[in-house]
Amino acid sequence: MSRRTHLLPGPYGQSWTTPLLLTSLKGGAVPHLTKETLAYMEIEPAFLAPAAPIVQQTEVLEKYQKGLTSFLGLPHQFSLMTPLDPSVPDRPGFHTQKSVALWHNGNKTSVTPEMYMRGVIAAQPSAFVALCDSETPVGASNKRKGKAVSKSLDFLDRCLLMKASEPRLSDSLIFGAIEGGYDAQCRAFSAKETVQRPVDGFLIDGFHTNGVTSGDLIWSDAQPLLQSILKALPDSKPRLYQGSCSPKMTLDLIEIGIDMFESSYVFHETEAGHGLIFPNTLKPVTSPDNGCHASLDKKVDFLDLKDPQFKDDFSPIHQSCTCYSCRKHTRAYINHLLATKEMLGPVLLMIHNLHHYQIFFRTIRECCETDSISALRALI
Amino acid sequence: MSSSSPSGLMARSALQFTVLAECSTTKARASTMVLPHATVETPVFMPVGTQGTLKGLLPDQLLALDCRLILGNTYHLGNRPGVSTLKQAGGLHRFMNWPRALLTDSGGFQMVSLLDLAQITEDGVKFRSPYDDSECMLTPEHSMEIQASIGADIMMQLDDVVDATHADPERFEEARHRTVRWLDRCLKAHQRPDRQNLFPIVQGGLDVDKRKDCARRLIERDTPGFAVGGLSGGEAKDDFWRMVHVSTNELPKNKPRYLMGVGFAVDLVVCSALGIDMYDCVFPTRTARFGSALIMKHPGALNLKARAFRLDFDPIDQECPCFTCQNHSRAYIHSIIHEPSACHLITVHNVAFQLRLMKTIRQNILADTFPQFIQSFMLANYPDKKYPMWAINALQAVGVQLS
Repeated sequence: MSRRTHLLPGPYGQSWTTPLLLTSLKGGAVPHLTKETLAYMEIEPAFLAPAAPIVQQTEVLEKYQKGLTSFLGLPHQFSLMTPLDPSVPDRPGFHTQKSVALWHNGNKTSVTPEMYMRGVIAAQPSAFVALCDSETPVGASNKRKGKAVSKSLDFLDRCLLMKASEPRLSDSLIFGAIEGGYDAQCRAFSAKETVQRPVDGFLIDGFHTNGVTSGDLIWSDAQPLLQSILKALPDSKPRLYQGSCSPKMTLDLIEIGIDMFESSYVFHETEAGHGLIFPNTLKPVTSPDNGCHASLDKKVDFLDLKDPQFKDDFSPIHQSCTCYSCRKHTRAYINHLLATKEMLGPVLLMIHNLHHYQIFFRTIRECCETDSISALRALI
Repeated sequence: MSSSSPSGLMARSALQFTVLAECSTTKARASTMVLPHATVETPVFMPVGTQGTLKGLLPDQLLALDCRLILGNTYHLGNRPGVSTLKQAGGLHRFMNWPRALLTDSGGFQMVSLLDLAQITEDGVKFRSPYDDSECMLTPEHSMEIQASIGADIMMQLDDVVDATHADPERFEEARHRTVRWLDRCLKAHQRPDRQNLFPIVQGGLDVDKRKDCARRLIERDTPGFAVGGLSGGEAKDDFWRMVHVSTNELPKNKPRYLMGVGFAVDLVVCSALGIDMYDCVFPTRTARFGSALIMKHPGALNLKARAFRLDFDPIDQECPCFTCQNHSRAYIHSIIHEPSACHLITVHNVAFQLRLMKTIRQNILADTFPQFIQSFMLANYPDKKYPMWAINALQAVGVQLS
């Protein structure tokens, strides 16, 4: 199997080892959390910032001058700006020849590469994905898929040109998107062309239409295409995948060569009232109690904490978890908060789920070093 | 704390109230109130955590604000999570992991305000459950049972609540007498006077003599503190402050006085001058959910939804020490106003605002500069000096002139 670890340079001399999880922002915050509540947990200071809220307030960031992460109260942190919000379902049919439609809070902005780069310059992210067209849902026409590829390459060239002439972006990494939907020829062309350009990394894009359904990727359809794309890319540059990734899908994608992920899976599980309990370390589970009436041979990734069975369950979400929520609060309390639709419910779930998924990635990195990813896979 | 109480008489109360200073002009006082879970400095504002949580904030965030006493609602908590879960958890403190003090209302107010079908009889409040449509009865004994399972430091008696603007004088008369009878039933059902304090509620509508009479009869019961109820329900502000004034004149000086449902900044300042020690109100946390951040001067709040804040890189309040003001700008909060995170940031600030205002009031009482503080506070909030007449009247009654 392929095993990749490499250092990703960050701002201020930081570096990250992949496989890396970027925490996805929504609007301009980690969903349900604030700088104050984030301080109650240990999290990789690396964020994915969807572009729509940035381009809709380029003027604000230009006036502010100190860049996006400072504006958000998260200064000196790694930020990767990307065209679409992977947690929000795409709204097809709004792109034009010269622009891509980006949506935020129900407002559409038709964004050209020039507008996009103005937003990038104002946001000063550590890295950004060049503007691209990923509107290639299953069943898209050949013409549409070809268009997505050629438009994305054209946009990439224009982003590269503007980046080259902008001293404020000299330290920012630029990622090129590989498009083409479920079409081997389009994909091969997109990969071949993108590789020839001076990009620092790649976004493996256009396999789904974002939102919660991005987790329903049909692996047998996507896998051969993903594999051939990744083979065409140089080993030395990181590959980013956006979309909801279950633990198993994460391992599958790492195995074929994806390096960077984002946390929309955690967001969707939190919104559903789920607490993650899948094995996220190689340590043997000391207590067999996963708090579920499911039989022991059935692996469950999460507990549905809305379920009345947890009403009087005063244990933490996950027995061996050291996160803030598990140290301080019980399943019964979270069940009560969800039943009463109190805002603290998703806060506690987000803290736990993000922690749990971060630990999973830490374990993955350890496994990559010791070549023991198969041991982790056996648990998932 | 209560275990260290020396005499048998003291052991009946789980509260020690010490007046540290009295304003030499107004009726305001600064005190400490020692409760089983916290020592509370008064005058105090209690943020409302209706269902065992303070609107999205972690208990540790409240500790960081040095909040020491919050309120829970018995009616809601009795429904969800319910007495059985609360008992198994070992009370609400442990259920929600809040180490400091709690106060619970009796459930009667919600019953009458939320439920159209509530019917009040001598036995209690009869209502139809909004959850399973069954017929239920909240009696004084049942209210005490729920409040015992919650385990709050301070419990309220079940009172016969009548809207202060109600027209029928006979109904007020009935409510006033029944409130005293229900207090006696609550006192009888109260199991743990060494761990929980029971406060009666002064009723009597907007009638001076009836307020006085009600207060006198409650005082005979020698409870650890008193509440002033039946106000803040839409009555004229001039009626409101007079009833507060009458009530605090009657109530003993050596016990805390709690004015229920009051939380606007001007009301807190004026009612502290009238001798109130404790307040609660949903306003600061509710208004935060609408994007409104409280400030110490005119116009009293900033609506951060407004486009005017798009390019405003100042904090909500330069002088506010809360986490939100120390780390974030108005423009940032405006930019995420549709996210739950924005509500959390404003809630932190608004709770901090209430606590800071009460601390300032207290410091001025201790320094005997409270009248001057009132004047400067009112001027900052009404820079055109168009003070509301009720506030002028109320402050005049305790020797403070607004010019």
